[in-house]
Amino acid sequence: MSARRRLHRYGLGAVRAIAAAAFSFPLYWMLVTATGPRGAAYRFPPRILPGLDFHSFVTVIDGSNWARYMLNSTFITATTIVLVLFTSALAGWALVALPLGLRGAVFIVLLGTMLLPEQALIIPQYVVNFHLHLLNTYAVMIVPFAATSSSIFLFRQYFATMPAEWRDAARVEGLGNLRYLWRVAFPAAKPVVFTVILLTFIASWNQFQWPLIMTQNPSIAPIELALNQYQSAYEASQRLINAVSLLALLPIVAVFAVAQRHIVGAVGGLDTGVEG
Amino acid sequence: MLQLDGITKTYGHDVALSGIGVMIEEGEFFSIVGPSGCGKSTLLRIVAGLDEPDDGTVSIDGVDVSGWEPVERGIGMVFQNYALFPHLTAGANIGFGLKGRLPKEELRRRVAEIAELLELDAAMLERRPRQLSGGQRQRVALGRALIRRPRVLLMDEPLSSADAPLRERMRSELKGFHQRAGTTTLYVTHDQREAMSMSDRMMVLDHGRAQQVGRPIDVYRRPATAFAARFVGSPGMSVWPMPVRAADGRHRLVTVDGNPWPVQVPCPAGTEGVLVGVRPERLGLRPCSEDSAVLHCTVDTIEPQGEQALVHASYCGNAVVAAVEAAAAEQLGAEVDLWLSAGDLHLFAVDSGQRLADGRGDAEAARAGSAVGG
Amino acid sequence: MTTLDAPRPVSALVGAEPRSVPDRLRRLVRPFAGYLFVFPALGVLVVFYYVPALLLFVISFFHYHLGGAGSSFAGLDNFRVLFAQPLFWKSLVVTGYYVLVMVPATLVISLALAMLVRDAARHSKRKRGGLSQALIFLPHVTPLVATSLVWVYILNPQYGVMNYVLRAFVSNPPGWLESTGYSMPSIEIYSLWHSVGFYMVLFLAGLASIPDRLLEAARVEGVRGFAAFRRVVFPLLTPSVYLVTVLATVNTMQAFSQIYTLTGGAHGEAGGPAYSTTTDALLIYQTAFFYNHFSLAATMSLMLFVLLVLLTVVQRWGFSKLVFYR
Repeated sequence: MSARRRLHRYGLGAVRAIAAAAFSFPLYWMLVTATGPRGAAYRFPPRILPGLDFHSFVTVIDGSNWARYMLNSTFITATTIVLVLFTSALAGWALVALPLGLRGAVFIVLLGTMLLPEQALIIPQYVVNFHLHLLNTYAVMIVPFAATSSSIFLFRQYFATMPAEWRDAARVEGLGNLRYLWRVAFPAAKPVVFTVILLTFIASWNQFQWPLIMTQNPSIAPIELALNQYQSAYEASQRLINAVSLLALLPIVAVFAVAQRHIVGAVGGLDTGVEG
Repeated sequence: MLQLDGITKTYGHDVALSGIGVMIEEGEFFSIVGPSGCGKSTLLRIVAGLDEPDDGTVSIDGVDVSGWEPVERGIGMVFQNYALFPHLTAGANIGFGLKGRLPKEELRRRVAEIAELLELDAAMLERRPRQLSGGQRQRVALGRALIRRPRVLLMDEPLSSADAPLRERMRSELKGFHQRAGTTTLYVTHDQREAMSMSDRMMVLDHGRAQQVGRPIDVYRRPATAFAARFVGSPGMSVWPMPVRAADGRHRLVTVDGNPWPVQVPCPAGTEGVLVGVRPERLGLRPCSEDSAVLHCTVDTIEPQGEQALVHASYCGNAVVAAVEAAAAEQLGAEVDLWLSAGDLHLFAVDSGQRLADGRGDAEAARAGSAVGG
Repeated sequence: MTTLDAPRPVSALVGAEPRSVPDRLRRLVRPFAGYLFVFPALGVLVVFYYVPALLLFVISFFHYHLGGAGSSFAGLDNFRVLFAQPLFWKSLVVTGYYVLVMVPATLVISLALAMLVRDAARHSKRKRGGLSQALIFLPHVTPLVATSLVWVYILNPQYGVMNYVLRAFVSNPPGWLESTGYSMPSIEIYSLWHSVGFYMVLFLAGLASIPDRLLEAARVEGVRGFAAFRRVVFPLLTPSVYLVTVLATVNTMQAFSQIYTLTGGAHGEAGGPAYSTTTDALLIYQTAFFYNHFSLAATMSLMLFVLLVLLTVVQRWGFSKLVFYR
């Protein structure tokens, strides 16, 4: 390798490392601030290394309804995931394999919401939720997201690649459509199931504007919305604000650490197809 | 025990099956054989209850099961490429249909019983289809089909995905299994060798029509139609048209250049030609009997096969195949005279392709006939 | 052999199962099976997306009060009122500023990052860029509010680390979110941090679809380095450029949560200072939920809807000349 090429290569490596560090810095800074001693957040020069002081977390967890908000988020996210899997798998299967008059029209309606701009809909959605008496309920944070066009599309695409003989084989064994879906098509569509779980998890956990508008009752607030309240309550302490933000972020980071590849692929639409 | 009656199925203007009827006996290994698109898989799916016929009935044990769901018919089915479920272990695949319908213990016992019958060991039952060899997959697919103790076992080209050596072995494995278990079996294949070597009886199917039903050896010896003649055998019969000349109320074959052949043709008055067929093994390089006839052919290709060689030749523009000794084949030039004995000729009607005159054509009868005629 | 239609106990299970459902019922139900399966998804999407989309048009042409009581047909009144509002035009300018900075910046930065990460992936043994790609992508999946909060701290003019560093170079660093001139750039910095990882992945997918052969062929012809990028890679990447442009436009036009949080929504100050960050989405929110003017908010939403459709059409037309599909 020539000196020039080596320089080129290590130079690139250095730029890459700097970029990665710059993008990670805010998350790192949360950790530094949250674990530093009381008052350190306002002192110069700033501390650069994370401390070992976890009192801020104790303050947040003990001194607020933190657990309640986390539970709310967990409940909303988990329920949404289950419902999305249920509705999307059923619809995806119907689009592929069941007698369905006006199949083309149904297909367009099921996938068309991807083209609707969400900010333009939020006012009439509020009106609809008002008339359905859904405002200020858990349901308003779950039911409208219990079916998504993208998930239906992912299931449809995957089911369409499954051999027709599987269906015949199951029929010979006496399985109806529902039981076939449950016992064969769904478990065999594992890559899509994972993708849908991850996408729904991220979308649902990160909800903010929707609960901000649709709910007022703090006892049903998900953690992201609660952060809004923490922002006022902890106005005087960057340490506590960063501690609670970090706690809200943790599940996402943990899942990302485990399923990084799959998430990048799923969000970027890279490997939403057949994965063997 | 399995009776098909007038089964007809059309897709738009295409006739997939036309008036198929047959009675399959208890314990029989029955093959349906034909080229791709002949309707054999459709027929099997109709028997299974996966497709409905436009007309006709399927009866099992004397009960008309038309309109019944597959599972109600008491059938088991092995699919092309096996259609094993990739996310389930071999054992779970075998027990698939009975899961939740039998107590766990009972199900495990049934799976073990089937596994033993098919010589699948316990370790294999824990593997997923992807980790199994082709032969093992076939046995798992068979197991899934058999665990219900079906009255009829249906197989749709189960060997088509295997490579040649594996196919040979699986063929004998299947045959052996059938002899042990004795389940009535309906077997669909495009490979006439499979049908010939495995079946008790077979049906030759072409364009949705049953060409012939019978024991393999009978189909081979006395094909009922020109199609069956061409299709069965490796390679099949060479069949070509020949003119017929009428004299003193008798019809005789003549060559294109007008030479009469020593063969009398039993056909209605006014017939101008017939289809003539002969097995490659019955065509030789030398005359072998006094009533021999000769075909002046041009040689197209020679295909050595060890002891023998196949000579692909043209006779008046018709393809003719002869199986001759390899050594002799090497000496051949651009032209060859192929000899045949009148007794080895099979005659078919030009329009319908039906075999002419029952009782003639198999060697003895033809010889007797030609002796009279010659 | 027993006959098939005789009922048999399940435990026996010799061969067939008993006939369960009568033929006639089966034939009746079967053609509708598809709709039973589609129904849950269809119901949700119709009720919560299509009905509101229709409602948007209705409310825009009514004097609407939540609940419907006292509402009356308004004709074009709402549009007249809206167009007479300076704040509406101001919000369009703010949004336009935001979009016009964000989209080009997104394109350049995410493409550069994609090239950087891909080159690294090619030199290392691992494919897919490994750790650096993951770290650059990670902000995109983080919740907007949680990470906006730390940026509020980082950008704090007095004790934020950003200005601490800047003071080493300039005597008078900007006031960031607290100044009218730098509030929008602050939001843009945050939004870029949050989103370029996502667009980078889209570009990586586009880059992965360009065969190495083509670059090798260019190299044989003596075309390398930036020339190879300009003459070979970029033309083949135009579908990704189009995709990123459209998505970035649609997403920035609708940005809400980060602007709300960064500009102090929790203290009721969102959109400030002095409306310098009041984008269309924010104004719609405030009109409806601070001023309870649903008709006007709906009319603005409709304008946003129309604007997005127009932009998409224009972009599609503009790119139809540029994009090269293989």
